[in-house]
Amino acid sequence: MNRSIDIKINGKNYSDVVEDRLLLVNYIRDVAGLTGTHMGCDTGHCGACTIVMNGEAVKSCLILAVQAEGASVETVEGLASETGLHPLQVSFRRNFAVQCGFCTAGILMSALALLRNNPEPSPEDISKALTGNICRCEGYPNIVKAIEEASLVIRASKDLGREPRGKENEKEG
Amino acid sequence: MTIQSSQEKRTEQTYVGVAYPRLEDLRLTTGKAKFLDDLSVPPGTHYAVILRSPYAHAKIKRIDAEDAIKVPGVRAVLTAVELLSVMDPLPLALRSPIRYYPIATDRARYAGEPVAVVIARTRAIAEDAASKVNVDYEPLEVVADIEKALAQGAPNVHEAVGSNTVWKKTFSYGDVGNAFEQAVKVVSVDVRVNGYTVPPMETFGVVAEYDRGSDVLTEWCNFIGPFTMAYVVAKALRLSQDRFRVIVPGDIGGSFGTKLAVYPYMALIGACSIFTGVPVKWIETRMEHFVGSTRAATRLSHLEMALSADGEFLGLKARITDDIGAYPRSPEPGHLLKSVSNFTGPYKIANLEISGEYVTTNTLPTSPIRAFGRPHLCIPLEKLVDKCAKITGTDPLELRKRNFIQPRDFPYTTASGGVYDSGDYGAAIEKLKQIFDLDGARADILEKRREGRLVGLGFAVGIEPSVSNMAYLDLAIPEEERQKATFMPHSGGQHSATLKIEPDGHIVARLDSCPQGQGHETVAAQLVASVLGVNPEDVRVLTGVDTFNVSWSISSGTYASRFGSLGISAVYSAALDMRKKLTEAASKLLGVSADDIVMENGVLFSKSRRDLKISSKRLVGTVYWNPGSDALKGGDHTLSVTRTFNVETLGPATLDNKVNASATYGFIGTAAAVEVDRDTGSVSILKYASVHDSGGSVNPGIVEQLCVGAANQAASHALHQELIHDDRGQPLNITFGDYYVRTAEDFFTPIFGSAAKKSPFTPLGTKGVSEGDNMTGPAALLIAIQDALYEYNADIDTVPFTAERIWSRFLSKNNLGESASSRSDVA
Ligand code: FES
Ligand code: FES
Repeated sequence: MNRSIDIKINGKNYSDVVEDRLLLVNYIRDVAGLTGTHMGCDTGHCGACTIVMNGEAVKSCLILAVQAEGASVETVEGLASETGLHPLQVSFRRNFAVQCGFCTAGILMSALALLRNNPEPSPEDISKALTGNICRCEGYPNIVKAIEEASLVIRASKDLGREPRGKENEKEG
Repeated sequence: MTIQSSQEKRTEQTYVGVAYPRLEDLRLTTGKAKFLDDLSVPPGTHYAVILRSPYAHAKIKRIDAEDAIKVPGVRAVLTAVELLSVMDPLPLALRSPIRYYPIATDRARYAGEPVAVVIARTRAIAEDAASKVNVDYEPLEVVADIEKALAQGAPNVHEAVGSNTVWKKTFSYGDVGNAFEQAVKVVSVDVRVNGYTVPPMETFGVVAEYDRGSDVLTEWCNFIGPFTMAYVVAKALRLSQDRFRVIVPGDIGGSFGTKLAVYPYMALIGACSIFTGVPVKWIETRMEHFVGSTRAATRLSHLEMALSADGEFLGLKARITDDIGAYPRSPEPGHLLKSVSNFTGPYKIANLEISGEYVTTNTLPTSPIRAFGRPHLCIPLEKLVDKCAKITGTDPLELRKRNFIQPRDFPYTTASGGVYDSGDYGAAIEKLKQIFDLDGARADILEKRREGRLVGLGFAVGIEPSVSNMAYLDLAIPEEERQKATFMPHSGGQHSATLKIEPDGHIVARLDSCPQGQGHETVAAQLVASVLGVNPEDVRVLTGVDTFNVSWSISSGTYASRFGSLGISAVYSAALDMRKKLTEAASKLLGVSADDIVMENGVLFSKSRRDLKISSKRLVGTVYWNPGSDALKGGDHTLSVTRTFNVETLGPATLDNKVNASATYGFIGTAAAVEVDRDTGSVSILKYASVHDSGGSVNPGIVEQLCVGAANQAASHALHQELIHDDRGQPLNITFGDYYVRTAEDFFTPIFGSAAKKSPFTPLGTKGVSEGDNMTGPAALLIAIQDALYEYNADIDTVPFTAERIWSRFLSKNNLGESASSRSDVA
């Protein structure tokens, strides 16, 4: 059966008629055309498909697109703003936390949800928040360090009352 | 930005040795990278779903696709019957009557072997239709492991062979008989390495488009090379090379060797497109990856060392049996042959005998997995050396040092023909002791043992060979055949790089590599920027291969750590050539000799007369827009250079079976401290350190991140990873839930040190790096666990040494003391 849905992705409204069985991850990738969210398994184990939905990190392969009706979704494409890269993006780069980068989008989104709920995470908190994300390049030490550093940057810039954005933006693209 | 954009003065090598942030990360952290499944596909693309055999061994009696074909949107259901009309078998490196197709013909020989391909408008339709295909199987007796395969009267996986042994050979170097006669002691070990894999995050994928107009088949795939396999695929598809175009995207989501084995699927999906005339896309599912992609060989090894009175290694004998699954596909028997040149590792051992036997079973076929065959070799060899140290009462590091190839011996030719470039292994061991704080670690172990804890230390060393000399596979061919005049020997392992400066001054570097997380763009940009005096951001680096547009060779791709060795050398040489071209053009325009020209900060000027100068921008402009000028006319000043780098030592194999399988040889020494939980047998890594000799690194940040991953993967392999199947050959762990993969909750942070000895064979002295921990890691951990279990006299002989194995064999109470090896180790 087909159904029409309205979803907000990265602040933009999407209206489509989709098959009931379409997974949210396939909606995001194939219908909305946002291919930054990946699929690494078919069993909900890998976390490559992680997005933030209504403020929470969610595996988009484990829900149907129709279940996201009315939801507000954030994907990796929405992480950077006009003013620059998100501190997580900057710090992943600075800490050599990206190898092949296939897991990166999912990990960034898990980290984003974590830092919003817990702005001062310990390394243990970070590890815990990432249990649903597999990095097969096994760059975990660098990833955890990058998230910790990003949390410090965000806190410091909040103290200074400034938007925590990276300078690297001009080099992008 | 262009060649002239640099603001500051740059001199050569500014960026060499700098942990420059990766250029790739800008797209990888923003979701803008394009992996295979992200590429737009040709109009009319159909999707393939592969139906696979549920039986490990069965006759295929009938395939009924009538209902499936009726599903709206289904284009075709293809079986061997259809596909063999456009396809021949994939050529094998081994001489064998076996015919290897990417789809089962009359029999399925492993659970997961493709049996039919459903082609439909969408993937969902293809999946629906696949469930309607009925296959009538007649299950046959299954040969699931080496023991059964070699048993008397075992059924044959391939009846045409008449046995399950598909290859058997003994290589002898020096005088092994004499060495063992001279020996005061002979020490032996046995190790079984179970089949395992290092699965990447991104699964395999192929998009194939056969164009009737041009008669060209184009394939987009996340294949990593070597492009010998593209040749193999073209052969199987009856295509001449000019009609087969392979395009590998610049972003690949990990591989760890596995994506070499995309090639059978390139043949299968290519055949589907040729047969149906529509573009066909296939993206492997994770479960398919576990049952149908590839794995490392299962190996039984028995090693013996002949020792002199003072602990000198006089000779080494090895008996190796490899289970390579249902088909001996290329590049097997590489699990053994790739390591023949460096079989003796960093040790000086003049007398060597290797007996290899290759066995087929009803399991998934094998291919290279990170550090191809070297975990299989390093684990037993280092266990053997450790045992020699115990038996002779020598410190394990001292015994190793005593037997090392010494700095004065380089370049050193091993008994089996390997030409090692450089090294100071003794110095590396000293460095290892220091970064591991060996004295502190030993004190800590004693302290913890006093508390009754099961803790231990282990060391392992190894050679880290880089680049693959095709010649090694010729060892699989009988000598008589290699003697014939018609025989074409194989050799070489070259890497290419093309550098261009565009008319507007932009610099483009085109590599023939297929990186999967190794940061080649950044490294190449650092090299070019250093030589041409610009910033790394000024250099656009294109990776991935397009066989119609890239200077490629059969060696192209990214495997065998080839980039650090030959890739860097090719890029660097191309950059030097480009600088020479610019200097020559400038010398003509300025009317001074070329050696009088210097290039700095985007300006070329005469050293003797500094007022004679030309900006590189103007120079480039003149070459493009005014080559007919008096100064330039008649010369070749095109600003495009391609350099192919090879090293001279990569020659063909000799008739006495000596071969140099690699271009450069790094070194790695690893130390590990572990604790075994008495109640569960689970192992925690207390400390892990490795020293690498990579000859030096262009980007130490990248080298470190790769090695961090390798060390963690090593522990995953050593302690957990194996592909389990039951005796009917049914794979039992085919998801990330059942097959152990590490998460952020149980990683460890390794300590690394460098003991670089520049290679004389490469212009910057670099060697390859980052596969080493995958071999010394498991070896050091095994030895550390044996040490921790010393009161049980534990002989750990199976990899992985899982908590379950440790507990059931040693820790369950009544086993105390009984597990001591009953073999006589000391002859
Ligand atoms: S794709 Fe693996 S958890 Fe969603
Ligand atoms: S960076 Fe490759 S899987 Fe995480």
